[in-house]
Amino acid sequence: MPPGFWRPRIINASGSFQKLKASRAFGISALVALTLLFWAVFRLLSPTNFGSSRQMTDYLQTSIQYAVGGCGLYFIVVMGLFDFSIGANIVLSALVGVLLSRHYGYWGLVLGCLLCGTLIGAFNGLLYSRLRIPSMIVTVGLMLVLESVANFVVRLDRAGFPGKLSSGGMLAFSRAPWNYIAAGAAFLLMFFLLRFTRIGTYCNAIGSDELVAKNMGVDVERYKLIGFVLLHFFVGVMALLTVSYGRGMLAVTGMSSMDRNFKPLMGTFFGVAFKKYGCPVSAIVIGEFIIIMIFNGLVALNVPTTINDFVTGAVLLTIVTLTNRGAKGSVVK
Amino acid sequence: MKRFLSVVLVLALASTVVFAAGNKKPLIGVSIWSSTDTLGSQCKRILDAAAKALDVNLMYIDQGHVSEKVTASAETLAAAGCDGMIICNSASAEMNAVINTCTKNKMYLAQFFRIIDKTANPNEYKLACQSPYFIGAVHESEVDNGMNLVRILCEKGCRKIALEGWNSGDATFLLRWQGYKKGIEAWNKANPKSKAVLLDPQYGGTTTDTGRATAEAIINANKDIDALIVAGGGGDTLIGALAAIDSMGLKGKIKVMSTDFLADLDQQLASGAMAGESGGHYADPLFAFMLVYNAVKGNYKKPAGSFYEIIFPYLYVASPADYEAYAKYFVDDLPYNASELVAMSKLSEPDLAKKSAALSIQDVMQRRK
Repeated sequence: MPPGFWRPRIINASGSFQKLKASRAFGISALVALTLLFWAVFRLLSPTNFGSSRQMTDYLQTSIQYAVGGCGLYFIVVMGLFDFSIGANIVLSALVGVLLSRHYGYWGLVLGCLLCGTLIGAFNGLLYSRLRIPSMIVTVGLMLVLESVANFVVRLDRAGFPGKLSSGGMLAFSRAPWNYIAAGAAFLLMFFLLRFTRIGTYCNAIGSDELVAKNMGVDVERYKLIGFVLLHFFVGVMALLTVSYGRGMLAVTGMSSMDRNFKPLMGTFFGVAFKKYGCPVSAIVIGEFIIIMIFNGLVALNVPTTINDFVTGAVLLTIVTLTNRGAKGSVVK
Repeated sequence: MKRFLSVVLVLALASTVVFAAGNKKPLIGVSIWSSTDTLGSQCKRILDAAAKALDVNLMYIDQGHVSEKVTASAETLAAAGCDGMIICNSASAEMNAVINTCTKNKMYLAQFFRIIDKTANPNEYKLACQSPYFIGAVHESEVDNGMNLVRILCEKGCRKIALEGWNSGDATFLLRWQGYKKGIEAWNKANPKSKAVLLDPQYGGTTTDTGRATAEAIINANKDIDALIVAGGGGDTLIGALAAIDSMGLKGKIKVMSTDFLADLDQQLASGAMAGESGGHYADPLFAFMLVYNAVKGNYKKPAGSFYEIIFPYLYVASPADYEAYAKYFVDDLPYNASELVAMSKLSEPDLAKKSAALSIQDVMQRRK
């Protein structure tokens, strides 16, 4: 046998494994494995109170609203931008939707949420590109403005229960199948945009190196504007699902709406971490599901909410670090 | 873009000038968790009516019961030139900074829905007694309220009661929780063969969606509960919890009790979604307002080494008929009209305290005859 006969085969096997490790199938398998792992751990610890099929459905119904927001955030987070006005937009769009639903029924609710969300996105994007200051600063200012507008909108609602959906009607999106249909349509749209349009590619290119992307002919300003519009369109869908899920929306001031930014963002972190496997949408959806599953698992174990937050944060950091840690010596932005 | 920004800036400044113009009336600040949620908007309604009747300007600050925002609200109101302020703080520890700000700025201060606990917060209590500007506190007996809710549930046959709070560490929640625990102890002592149990609380925030998610988690984790107490949080937490129970097909099977009346409580009681509720206390801030108003006018003198304390009564509703009477005098109308509010502003402090204690549905019915 000539020397080195086995060598090419060994290299091929290693190459195949590397190829498999970078494939979409591997990414999705890892996400499914993580889901099963957390399910198994909590199921073992709390066999009667956690993880039945009915309960899993409840967890999924809770998580999809955050996953929709997470999908929207992905468009700007991969470009290295951030938007603090998401929570305020959810509040304002939901209140506009509720107000319009009093006159136009479901059309008012759906179009109110989606159009208001998208228009705010266009406004945010325009302001960001015109003012030429960091997105965080622009969106903090806009958050305060939108919160104030939301307080005016809720005062226009002359119903006995301002900002709340009546228990008799307008609740189709609070339960299956309509909440799944709305969320599923948003996920499919996200998948389509990333896979079959240049938006996903350009967003990634801008995030990797804005200057290089510009020199390659990418209209950076235009795609950042598109990113903001898409983000807030998804936020509009999230507003529809959130206001239906809770059956109402509370107008807040003093940056209190900022709390609503972070649950979608956690899903986006999953999406960014699993971007290299080509499955950001699945990662966002499954990531949010895992977060909600952990919350419910810890409640099943009667763990106090403060510890619950600690565990959720620690798990998120661990997963993102394990899947997305840069190579030694690499520059982390 | 520069022109657009200039126009925005001019509009913002102009609106400030317009709002500031003619600000010669007494200005009283209201530091509240939210002026738009179910309970907060009701508080605002009665405070606005009192301000209109007495020709006073009000300035609201929503602080969301976030500690640093609570303390900052006093500084903001002082900077705005308020003559006095009323506050619903979150934790008693915040009152140290709030009282110091008020004393420094000679701004009268009264608490509503709250009182500083002499035993748990002795330093803040001492500071409140010493400050010439801390005029008093209006509050409910939260422990008794908690005990009553648990007693009603136990009498309705509930033996495993889950608890959903809003923010851990909130002073009112801690008192209500103490009441729930005392209620359980009292029941178990009187009924050793039919003991009840209260689960540890989970916190659902103050929004409907977080309220629903937490209630679903509680119910999924404890399938055998027969009652859920939603401790409060302004009403939106309860709306979310009711949505959770409805969506899980458990309406009527899990008895829900809460504090803070909902606007559609009659429907919730009729449908079996709610077993009963304590509330109707949105007029509590009115009495804190009257304390501060009279202090600003120089009618009330701060008691030496102490402060005024007014206990406000809860109303309990457990049937649609109960609610109908409540709605007539407390929802469709306010419990005090303009002339009664003016008359109330002229009462001495002991009479004001008596007026507060006397408030009930029957009291309003008699006045409206």
